[in-house]
Amino acid sequence: MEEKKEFDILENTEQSVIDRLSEEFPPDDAEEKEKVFRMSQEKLNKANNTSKFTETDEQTVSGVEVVCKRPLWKKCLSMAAAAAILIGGAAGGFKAYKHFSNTPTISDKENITEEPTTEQTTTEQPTTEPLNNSCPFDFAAHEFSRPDPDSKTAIFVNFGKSEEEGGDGRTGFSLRGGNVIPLEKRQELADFFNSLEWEEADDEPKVLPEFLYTYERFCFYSLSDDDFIILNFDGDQSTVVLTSCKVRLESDYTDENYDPSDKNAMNRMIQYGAVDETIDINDVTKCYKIDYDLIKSKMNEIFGEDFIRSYNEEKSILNREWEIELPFEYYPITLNKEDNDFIYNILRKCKWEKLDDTSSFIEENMQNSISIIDLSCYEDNIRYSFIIMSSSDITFIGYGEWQPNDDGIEEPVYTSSWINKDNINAVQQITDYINSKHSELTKEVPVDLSFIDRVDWLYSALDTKQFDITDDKMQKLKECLGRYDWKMTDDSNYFGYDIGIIGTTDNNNDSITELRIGKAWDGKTMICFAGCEVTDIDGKLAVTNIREPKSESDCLNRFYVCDDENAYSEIEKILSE
Amino acid sequence: MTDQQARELLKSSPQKAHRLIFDEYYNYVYTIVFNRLRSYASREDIDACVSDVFSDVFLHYSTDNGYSGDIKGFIAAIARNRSVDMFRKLRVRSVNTVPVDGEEALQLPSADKVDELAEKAETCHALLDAVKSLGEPDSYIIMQKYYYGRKSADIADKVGLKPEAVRKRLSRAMDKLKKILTDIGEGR
Repeated sequence: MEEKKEFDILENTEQSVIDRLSEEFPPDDAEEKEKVFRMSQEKLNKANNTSKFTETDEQTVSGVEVVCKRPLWKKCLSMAAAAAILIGGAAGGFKAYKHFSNTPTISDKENITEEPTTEQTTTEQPTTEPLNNSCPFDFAAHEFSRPDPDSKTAIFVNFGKSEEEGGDGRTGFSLRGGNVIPLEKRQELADFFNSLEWEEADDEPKVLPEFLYTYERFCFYSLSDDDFIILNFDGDQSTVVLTSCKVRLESDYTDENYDPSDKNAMNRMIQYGAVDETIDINDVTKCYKIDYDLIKSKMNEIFGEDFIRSYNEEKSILNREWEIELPFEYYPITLNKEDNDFIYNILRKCKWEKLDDTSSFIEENMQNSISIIDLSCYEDNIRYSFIIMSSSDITFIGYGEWQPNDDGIEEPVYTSSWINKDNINAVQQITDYINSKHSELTKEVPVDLSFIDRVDWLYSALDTKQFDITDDKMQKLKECLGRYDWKMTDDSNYFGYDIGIIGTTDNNNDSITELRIGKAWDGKTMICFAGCEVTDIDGKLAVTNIREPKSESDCLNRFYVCDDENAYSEIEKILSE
Repeated sequence: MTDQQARELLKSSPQKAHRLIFDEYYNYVYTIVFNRLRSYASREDIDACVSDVFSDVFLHYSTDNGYSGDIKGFIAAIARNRSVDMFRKLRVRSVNTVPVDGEEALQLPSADKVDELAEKAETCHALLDAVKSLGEPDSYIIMQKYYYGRKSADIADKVGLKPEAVRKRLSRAMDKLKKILTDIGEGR
């Protein structure tokens, strides 16, 4: 980038320039600063600490990375099981783990206490092998907990040796701390589990593209004395994966500089390791078929309806507000949850094979595609894309995440492609469905200036030109806008609006509209009644986001331009009175 | 915080002292390190180097260990040494040898180079003056983008604009900056 080179001269310069850079143009990244402070404290602690500690391999203690020479199905199960644990709210666990990677081990076993639990007596029994199809675990006998996604305690259970220690790299589970389930409920669950038939799963699990998973799952774990047991219930696979082994405590570290305002920070990190370092996670794992809906229903009954906090992984298509561009249609339409569910259910029934070389495959097989569905959405500067294509005998789906680099050019962050040969009608089914449901949204909707009468206009938006706003002025504005011819447009990418007027409907701060006026990239005057999300800044509502989707019948969130070059100046004159 | 206060606080409340010293000198240390490693190190390497500087400072700056001089000078010296050290390590990773007269070789002041260095410093000051004359937020945006290498989206969050608006401002500001620098060059 040429512009960056202009500033290369500032590099490796003398002290007076550095002093000036430090004073007048300092770095401005509070998050980075806090991270550096934590790093410096760790290094200081390490330098001051006289205890022997174990250096762990940051890159391999992930809970999801499995170096496995076992059959494919066990690898899948291991990955699913470990990934499932993330549902327990360990999204911050990895970051915390890297932070704490050089923590000292403890020489004496300390009493590990979590959040206060009810007093109870338990009879601890070792996990036994199931007889016939009986339940392979005793839920009442062990102090099972549910991971709490809001917990600031991270627990890691590791298997194997790191590469530096001569192993293949550590794998394991990453958890959030949780509360032990009261004995009464554990007994109720034990009775329930004992009433079911337990059959080990077949060798071949259902393989789905990762973005078609619902990630409907939950887990229980028990860490008492030196026993570790974890149960991962997976709705997509209809399985429960049971892992059980002897472990020892490796370290227990509390961060003195814990910052509660950092949502990813962990207060405490506890590490366990399998006593037998030679065992592989698969050696101590078994998988059983389950009726997931039945079990989930029981969980809701015992723990309440919000038992399973929805945790759709970020790559699930169910999570996105997709816009779809259909052939021969001018304007994209936004799909709702019902539409996503429909697409999801169609695609999930297919048998998919993963593609390694997408470009060659498309070139050789999909050049004469009969139909294409192209979905996209934008969130936090990332463009998500989801394409479904079908030819005479193959259906192709491709998921991608794209992010602009510093030059503004999109680069792929993540892509994944799959094909199936057993439902070539998928695209047509989806297209027919969407056409029938959303045809109204593609039509031209004229601007409706009576919108101005329905909104209680308050003031100019904080980051735009400032005007005094009165009802009288807004009526004059409405008359002014009515004198021009407004055409709907979908080209809003370069809408540089510098007039924003905020108002509420029905005196409701949750229903905010911003009338945006400015110029399009070609200088034409553009307006939009934008349904917004707002935040409070010093007592004033400041717009943070435009709400989607467009409504079916009115002009909300649509863009209009007019060709008359006098429009903008007349608008500005009225508002300046 | 004076040096005396820093030493007393390090004795009585080391944790608090670390935090205060860090807050006071972070920008300074970061600027020194970044200035040396900008084109050679990743963000992670730079962060690691800055954290090394501060852990060295916390370990060694106290009356007990003997260094009792000016804390700012002490910090600056550690920052320069650590960043040069990292520079050398990074260069070793990427090249086998560096010609003595090549650009990659560490530039050390010498009688021959003093004039060059002085001229370079003058040019740097002129550049910073020109950037400053753009006013806020353009001067902030330009430096964060083209000197510190931040992303437009991150800058947008800081200045309360949309990323598209930041990119537009960057383009206009660079045009203005080039004109200012051209005028300076032509002696206007």
